[in-house]
Amino acid sequence: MPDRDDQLAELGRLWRDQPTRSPNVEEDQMLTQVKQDARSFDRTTLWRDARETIAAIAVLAFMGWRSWSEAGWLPKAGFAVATICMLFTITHMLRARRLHGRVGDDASLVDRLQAELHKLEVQAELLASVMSWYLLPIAVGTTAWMLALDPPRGTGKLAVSLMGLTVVFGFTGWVVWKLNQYVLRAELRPRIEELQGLLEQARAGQA
Amino acid sequence: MKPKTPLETRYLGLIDKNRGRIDRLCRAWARTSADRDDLRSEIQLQLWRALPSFEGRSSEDTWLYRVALNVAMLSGRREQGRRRRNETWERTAAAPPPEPSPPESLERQERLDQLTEVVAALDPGDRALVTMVLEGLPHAQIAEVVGITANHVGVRVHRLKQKLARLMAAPKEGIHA
Repeated sequence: MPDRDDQLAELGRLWRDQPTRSPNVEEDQMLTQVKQDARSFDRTTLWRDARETIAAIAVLAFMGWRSWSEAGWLPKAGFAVATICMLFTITHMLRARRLHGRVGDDASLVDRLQAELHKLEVQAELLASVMSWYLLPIAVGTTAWMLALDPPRGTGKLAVSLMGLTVVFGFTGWVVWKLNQYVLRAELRPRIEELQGLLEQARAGQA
Repeated sequence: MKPKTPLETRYLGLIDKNRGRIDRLCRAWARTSADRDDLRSEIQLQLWRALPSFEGRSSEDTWLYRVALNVAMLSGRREQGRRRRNETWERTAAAPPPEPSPPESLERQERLDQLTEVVAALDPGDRALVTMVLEGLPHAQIAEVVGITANHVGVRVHRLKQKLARLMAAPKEGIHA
C-alpha cells in the first residue's frame, strides 16, 4: 500500500529531523562521569557479594573459636553440624545463582527479557522455599551447636532448652518467612508478570 | 590533559555519531526531560560497560540498539511512567524557540509532538519496533535487535503502519494505542 508507505517515510523523516539536544556537558566531563558511574556500579555489586561472604565467615569463625575454646568433642561436633547446615544453605544459593543464565548487555531484547524473567523466577522460587533451604538448616545447625557448647544436664533440662530454642527460632523464622513472602507477593510477582507482558509484546504473536 | 585510551576514543566517537538516535530513543521512552536525562545517562553507562566486549559479530547499529533498548525496557522507566501517568508528555523540542516561528514550522512541531505522543502511547514491544522503523533500520536488522524473524518483523510493521496512520489521523485527545 504505497500511501501508508509514503506516510511512514514522511513520519520517519519528521522523526529523524527533530532537533538533537546539544550536550550540556563537555566530552571529557561526560566520560569522567560515565567512568565514575561504572566504577560505583562495580563497587556496589562487589560489596553486596562481599557482605554475604564476610557475614558467613564471621559467624563461622566465631562459632569455631567458641567450640575450640571448650574442652571435649561435643562442642566440635556441634560446630561440624552447624558448618554442614551453613554449607548446605550456601551451596543451594550459589546453585540457584548459577541457574540465572546470564546474557550480555547486547543480547537481543527477547533473550534479555527471557534471562531477566528466569532470574526473577529463580529468586521467587528461593523466597517461596526459604523455610527448607535457609531457615530450617540454620535453626538446626545453631541449635545443635548451642546445645553441644553448653549441654543441659538431665532430660528435663534438655527438653526445656530444646523447647526454648524452638520457640525462639520458630518465632524468628516465622517473621523472616513472612517478610520473604511479602517481598515475593508485593515485588517479585508483579515484576514477573510485567516481564512476562513485555516478553509477550516483544514476541507479539510469533510462535 | 591525559591522552585518551583507544577505548575512550572509540566510545566518544560512538556517542557523538549516535547522539541524535539516543536522544530520540529517550524521547520515546521517558516522559519528562529529567527522566530523559536519567535514561540517557543510563544508556551511556551501559554502552561504556558493554563496549569492551563488543566484538563486531553484529553491526554497530544493531549492538547500539540492543544495549539502548534493553536499558529502556528494563530500567525503572515503567514505574516512573505509572507514577506520572496523569502528567502530560513533555514536548519534543529541547528548548522552546526564542522567536516566533513561521506557521509551517509550528505545524511541523505540532505534528512531531503528536508523533511522539503516539509512539509513547504504544506498548513497549511496538514502541521498540516503531522507534527503529522511524530511524530507517531495515527489517533484518530490527529482527536481530529484537530476536524475532525478519518475516515476523515485516508482518508487525505492516500492522503498525495501519495503527500509526489511524492514530496520527485521530484527534489528539483520542490517542490510546
